Amino acid sequence: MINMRKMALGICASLLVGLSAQAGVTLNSARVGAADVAALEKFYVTAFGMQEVQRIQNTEVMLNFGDSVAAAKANPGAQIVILHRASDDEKDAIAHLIFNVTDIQATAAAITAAGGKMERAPFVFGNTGVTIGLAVDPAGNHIEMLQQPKH
Amino acid sequence: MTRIRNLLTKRTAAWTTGLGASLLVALGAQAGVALNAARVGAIDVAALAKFYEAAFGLQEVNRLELPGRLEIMLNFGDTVAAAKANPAAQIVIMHRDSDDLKDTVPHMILTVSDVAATAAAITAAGGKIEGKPVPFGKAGMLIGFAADPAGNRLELIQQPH
Repeated sequence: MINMRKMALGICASLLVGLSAQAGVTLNSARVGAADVAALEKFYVTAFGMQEVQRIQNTEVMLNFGDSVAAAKANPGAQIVILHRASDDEKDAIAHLIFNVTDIQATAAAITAAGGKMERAPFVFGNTGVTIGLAVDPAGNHIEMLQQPKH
Repeated sequence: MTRIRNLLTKRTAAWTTGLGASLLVALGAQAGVALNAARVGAIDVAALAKFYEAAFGLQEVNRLELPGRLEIMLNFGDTVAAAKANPAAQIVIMHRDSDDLKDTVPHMILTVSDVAATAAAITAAGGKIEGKPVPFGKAGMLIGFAADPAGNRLELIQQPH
């Protein structure tokens, strides 16, 4: 009995090691910038159904996914953070955020409706069956959507 | 979502692993949208991937080799297999033509357990500490800023112990 308990503890410990990763480092959030943080927050909330989970005055807002604010706050997944910047006039072509979506056409429509722009309509990537769409949020940040092949 | 919630209530007993539950939380979101990855750019994608592996213990889990457009996906894990099985959002490095951006937004925030050790690892791997870890608020949180060798800004957060 004691041995089994030890074994169970050992399994738990190795799971913990597996999840906590080397050097105690994990991804906390991905971040984009905006001259108007509140306006960009509205876009991410409207287009992707995100919830505000934290705010540092009007300069930084943390968002996460969830059916309610409480669920979003309890979501262990990495957050999306919007940080104030002086200008949106940057020539940054990197899509800093990549979303998994289940219905890329619906998400593309939601992006347009919320004030974003589709840069490239969803297309199938090579022979992978993965559909990719590229968009720009209202502050000019490039974002990408991935839809896995349906089974 | 209501249907999924009902299903969950009825079949709670079937969900025996915490992993399954947290996967559901992460994937369950409204409108079928979840964060897949955070991405930074570099002229030399392979070199920057080496930095992230050395400084943070990330593992390469995937790569796309298109002509002149290498892209490397990384995740945390003790082994490549563990990193590939990690359901958390990935870190992706993508090619760009110039690292000479005036981009001050730290696009990635890393949770660290020992910010001083991570700062040392960053310097040793060829990155730069831009803001030494300083206390944020009164709860004991420490925040530091760094730049990777391609000039992407990073933020490090150590929660109070």
